[in-house]
Amino acid sequence: MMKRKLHIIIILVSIALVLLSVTLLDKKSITKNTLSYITTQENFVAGKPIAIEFKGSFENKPQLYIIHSFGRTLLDGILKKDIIQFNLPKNYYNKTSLVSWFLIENNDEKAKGNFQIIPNDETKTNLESYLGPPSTLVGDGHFTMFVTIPTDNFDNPKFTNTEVAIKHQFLNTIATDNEKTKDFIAWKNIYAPTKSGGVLISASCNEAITKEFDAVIYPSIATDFTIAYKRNHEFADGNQITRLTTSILKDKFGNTVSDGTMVTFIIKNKENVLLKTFGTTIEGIATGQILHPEKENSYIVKAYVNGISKSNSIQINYKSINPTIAYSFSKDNRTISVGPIKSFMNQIVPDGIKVTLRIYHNDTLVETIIEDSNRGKATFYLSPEFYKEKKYSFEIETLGKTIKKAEKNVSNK
Amino acid sequence: MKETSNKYLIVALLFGLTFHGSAIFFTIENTYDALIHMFFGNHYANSWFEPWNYSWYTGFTVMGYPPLVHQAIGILSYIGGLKFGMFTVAIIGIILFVTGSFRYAVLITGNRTVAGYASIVAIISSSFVETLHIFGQLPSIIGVSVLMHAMPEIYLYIKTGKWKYFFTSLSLIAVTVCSHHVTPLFGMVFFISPLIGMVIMDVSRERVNSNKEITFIIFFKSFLSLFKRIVLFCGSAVFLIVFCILPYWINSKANPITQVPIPHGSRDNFLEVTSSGLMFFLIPWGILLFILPYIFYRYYSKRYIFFGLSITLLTILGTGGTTPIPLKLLGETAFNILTLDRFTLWASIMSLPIFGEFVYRLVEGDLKTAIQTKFGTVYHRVLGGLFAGCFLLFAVFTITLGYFRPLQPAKINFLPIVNFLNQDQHDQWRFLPLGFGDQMAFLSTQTKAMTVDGNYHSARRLPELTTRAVERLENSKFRGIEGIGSLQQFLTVPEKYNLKYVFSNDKFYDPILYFCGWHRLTQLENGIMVWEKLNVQPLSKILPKDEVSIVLKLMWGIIPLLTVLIAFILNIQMIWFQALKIKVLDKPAFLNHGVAYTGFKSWMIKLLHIWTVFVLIIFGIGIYFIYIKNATQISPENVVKSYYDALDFKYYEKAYSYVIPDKEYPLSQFMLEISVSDGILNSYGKLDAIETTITNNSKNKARIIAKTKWITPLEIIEKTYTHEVEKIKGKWYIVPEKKDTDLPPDEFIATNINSYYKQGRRKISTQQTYHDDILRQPDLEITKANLIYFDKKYMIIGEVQNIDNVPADVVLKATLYDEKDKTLATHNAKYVIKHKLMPKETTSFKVNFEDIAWLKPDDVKPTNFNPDEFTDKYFENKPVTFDIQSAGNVAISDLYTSVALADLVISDTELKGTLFNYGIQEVTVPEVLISYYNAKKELIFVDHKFIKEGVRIQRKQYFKYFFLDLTTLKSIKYSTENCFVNGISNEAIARDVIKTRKTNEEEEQLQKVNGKGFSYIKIEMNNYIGNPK
Repeated sequence: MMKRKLHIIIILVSIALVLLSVTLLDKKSITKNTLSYITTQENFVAGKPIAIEFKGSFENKPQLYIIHSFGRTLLDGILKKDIIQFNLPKNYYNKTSLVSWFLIENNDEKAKGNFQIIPNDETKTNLESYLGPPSTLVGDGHFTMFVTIPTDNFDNPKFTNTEVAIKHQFLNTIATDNEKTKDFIAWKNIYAPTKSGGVLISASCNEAITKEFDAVIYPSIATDFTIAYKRNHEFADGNQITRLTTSILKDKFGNTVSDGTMVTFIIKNKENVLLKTFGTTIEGIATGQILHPEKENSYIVKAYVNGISKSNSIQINYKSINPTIAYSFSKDNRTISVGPIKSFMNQIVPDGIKVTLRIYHNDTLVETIIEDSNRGKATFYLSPEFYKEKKYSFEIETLGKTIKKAEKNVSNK
Repeated sequence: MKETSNKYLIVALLFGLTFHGSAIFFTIENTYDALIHMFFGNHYANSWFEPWNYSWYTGFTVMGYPPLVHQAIGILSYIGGLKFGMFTVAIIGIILFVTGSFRYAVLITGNRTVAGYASIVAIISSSFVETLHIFGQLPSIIGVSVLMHAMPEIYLYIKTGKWKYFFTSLSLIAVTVCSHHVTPLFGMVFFISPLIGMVIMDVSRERVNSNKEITFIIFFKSFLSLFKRIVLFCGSAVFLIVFCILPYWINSKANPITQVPIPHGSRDNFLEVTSSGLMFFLIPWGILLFILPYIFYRYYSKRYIFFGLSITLLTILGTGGTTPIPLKLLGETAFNILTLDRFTLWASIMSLPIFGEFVYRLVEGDLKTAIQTKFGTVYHRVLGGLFAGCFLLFAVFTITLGYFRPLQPAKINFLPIVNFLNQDQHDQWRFLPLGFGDQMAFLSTQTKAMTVDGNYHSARRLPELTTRAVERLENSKFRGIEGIGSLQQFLTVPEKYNLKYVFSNDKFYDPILYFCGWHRLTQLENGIMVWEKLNVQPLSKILPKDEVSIVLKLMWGIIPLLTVLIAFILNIQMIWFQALKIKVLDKPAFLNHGVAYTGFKSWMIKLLHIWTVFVLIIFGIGIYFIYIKNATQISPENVVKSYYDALDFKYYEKAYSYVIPDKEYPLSQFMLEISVSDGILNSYGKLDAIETTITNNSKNKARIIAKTKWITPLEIIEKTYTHEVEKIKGKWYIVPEKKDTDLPPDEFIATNINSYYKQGRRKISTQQTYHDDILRQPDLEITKANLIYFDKKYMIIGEVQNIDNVPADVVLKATLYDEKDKTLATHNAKYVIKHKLMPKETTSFKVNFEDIAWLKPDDVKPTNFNPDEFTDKYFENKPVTFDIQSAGNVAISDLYTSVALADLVISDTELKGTLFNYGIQEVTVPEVLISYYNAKKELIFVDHKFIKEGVRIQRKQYFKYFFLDLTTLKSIKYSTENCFVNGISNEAIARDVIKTRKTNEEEEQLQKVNGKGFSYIKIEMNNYIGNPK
């Protein structure tokens, strides 16, 4: 009987104890937060799933606010007993970043911390590269810059001091430079050689290699040069062409200037008037052409690359062809035939030579008629309908020669 | 009595459908408007509820035109494509027109046989033929046809007061409103009011025993008895006009038409502009002209008196600018917005019942009897034959007008253009078609690329367009020079509109494109030349649009087709009964009021004869005057004018026939001489005016001084020619001019030239261009820049050099600022610059600050527009400083430099120069840039001159230039400090390439002149090659 009593007492006491302990325990958890950050890892490798765990008891489901290079987001956790687990989304854990996290419950920040996601060296290396400018001038400190960004397969820049081999070729030389990344990039300025041409550039990092990049090295500006001329004959016949050519235009390093460089030939004639012709260089030589004058003249020619360089001056003299000019009047003096106009070898002048007839009445100019020569001849007809006076005097001019003819009676029949 | 089918109506329907139904396939695509309606149809097919359309202008709303016809085309296009939609709608229009004119004629004449005749004549009435086959005004046709259908219903409602008719009539009015807003508006005035008058008259007639007994009091009493119905009907109709197209009215209020009036032939004086008279008076009236007295006589009878007044008004309004009455009646605004041809159309449609009646009486009625008894049967037959023949002739002439006198450029195959736009992301920029005619609308239906132009000018919003009386940029040359001025603004600053491609179907525009800095890209298989401009940004992904409320969008999308549906349901029963004769219908009230056709008045026969003779005499006189005006060789002046006319239209054989016949001077020689003359005048000039004066006139000989004025794409050229003319055998001839006999020295020319090519995108990929394929922008140096004030204008002048190793295309944008650095104006260099530069080549430039012309309403528009003129920008503050943003891009074409200045004679006032072309391309338009320098050799002004004739290979060309007086010129700021090249400081770029500039060497190249306000000049050449080989 006693035994039974004791049993009952023990049971009652233990129940009471259990009850008491439960209430005591409860009280303790309310007063003191037992939340703890379980995850110990501080560095994660990109591309591997990341879970952040907290231990504790959670009345309201807390959320994790994270700040990542990719952006900011709020994560919902998965609650398992007293452990809550937050899984970073894939696009977050694939990217390197310093991640700051804040555990938030009921709009209160319960805990905070940070960790790092580092590049994944185990994956394939990729090389992103850029060359610019794609063309530059020779020498003088001109350069083109080659920039590479070695990345892991998740497109995360590699660790600082990752070595990148940058190679470039120019003519027979191939150079390799090992550059280490700093602030994600490994770069090199490739200084232009003093010779024009093309530079090929590439880079490698681990097993990753880039394609071939090329930069064009253009020659620099032209230095002074000389000019010369060529012509069929020295006569001022208003028909032939004189060719003006430059020597090969070179820059100060001896490179032939770029094709198409514009050269202006300035021609000063006897009347101090500037004529001009142009040439664009091919293999450094520019050719300009100028028509022979119609009268005797003397040209002084000088060529320029505008604001950059000039040539010597040369003198070109054109002799008068001293034409013999025959002319005749018709019976009624109304038709004036000029010609044949003969040139320096006594040949007939080429077609299209200007023949000017000035008609005077009482020493005042009535009219100037210009005809082009055709087979060495030009014909002028004074129609009685329009030229009603009885007397006119004339002046014929061609190829720099003027013939004056005294007053003639013009028939009005 | 069981009614028999009206065989005339059936004939009319069958004939109408075969005749027009087959003809539209050859005509409607060449009409002025049809393709626009198709474009709108395409809009609805693609976005039914969205009224905003990006394709034209810089976006516009389709709420500017009633949508029914367009939506019908759109919905039908789902079945068989857009063209199917358009043709189906056109065929529906034909059916509606035939049946409508039948019903209208029954209403008016009260005689079904007469109405049958009326429907037959309606089919080939020249006004309908013209509206459909030349103008392509589908909404207008459908609108007026449905209105004709509505008229019997309106009559019956007002007469009987049956609600059935109330609803049928209003349902048809609603359809009319949705298809064409102008038709019901004016229809209320010109058709429905006289109709109401006629109803009152009929009611009055029923109260008395004869027409004569109808007095005003009786009429007024009848009016009062019907007053409630009239008010109810008119009120409801007005409500429908407002409600059915409410979004249209709201849009008109929100975006009032700011467009300045665009000239329209229907507003011309038809006696002066005979072509407009033909199109807008003679053709639409056609054969009706001969029976006008009869029409007026009938419409001025008591019953029709209100129609008589209406048709009189319509006739007068239709005469356009011939008399001052239409202008006074309509007021300036309405006169300039409306096209007045519609009044003539309505007048001719209103005449149809009477015309039908006339034909009926002539063919089988009392007129036949009257003529036969008076003149005999033969006369009647001959007369009838002539009348019918004339009638048919008018119709055939009208329908074939477009064939003999093409109204549109030849049909263009758009596939290559569409392919080009789809290729390589070309549709990311706007394009501009030139010389496409109304077909441009068709192009827009086929591509999603947008254009700055468009073909519905009421919807334009860009002030550059609305301030110009230019229909389309595309045909700006026909709007004379004002059009070209408008085009210029778009071509000079294309980046403002993201305009990168121009499709040119007309060589005329080539020089303006070149001198504005554009270059030819490629010629497509269909012969269209594609022009491109560098340095233009693509369109942004999101473009602005005007939002309207969803309610309006829904109304716009739903109501129009709903009105058709309702009208169909309400009217189908009637049509069904009428067509199949299932049920005997009540005889409509109006059938009681027909007149009996007995005893055609003999005085009317006489009057018609006299009238016919009168009309024929007028025709004869007209033709005689046209002959005299166009007789080519009856006077010295005529022969010269005709000669230039023929040259202008390139009728060389005709031109040759005006030259003195000479065995030594055959046509082949003449043609040869024409073919070697090139230049702005010969290749691109359009003769605008010619004025001739005779000097030294004698009996058989004369000297003519012809002052000609040519419109060219670049400027107006006035040139005076002197011609000797001779009279041989009664005809005047021109003495041929002597051609240049200059012989080039070399027969065969070998030369080396620099030529360039750029690959663009090397990899075949739809990706964005790879970085490696983007060329570095060439370096430029702005060596001189000067802000000057001269001739009341601020200008920026300067000099720019391509200091790179590749050829460069130069875009130069200058901006003016006031003291507080506030932007005053920005503009690009237009003509006064060489846009394409070889390496190290230099060009002078000038930037004028142009405003959008005549922006302010009180601006006086010059009567003679010169393309070289522009409206100066008005500045509130004085400009004190400026910046220049220049951009270089690699150029590969238009780099011809082989033109030398071979001779030069300088006086204090002018220079005479000789150009010599020593290269192997023919220079079509040489431009000379003349820069002026002061005594310190500082650049103070730049001027330009286009030389009228081209320079052929190894040949000379002479030019003359008068120096300007620059004594009043003020140089405000001479500095290059705020000049930028490709976004980088000018100085930084330049000194990296050229360490020290040898300015003294540049100064050696200046020509000393003893000028007014200047001491030196420099001459540069810019060579435009019309046909690069």
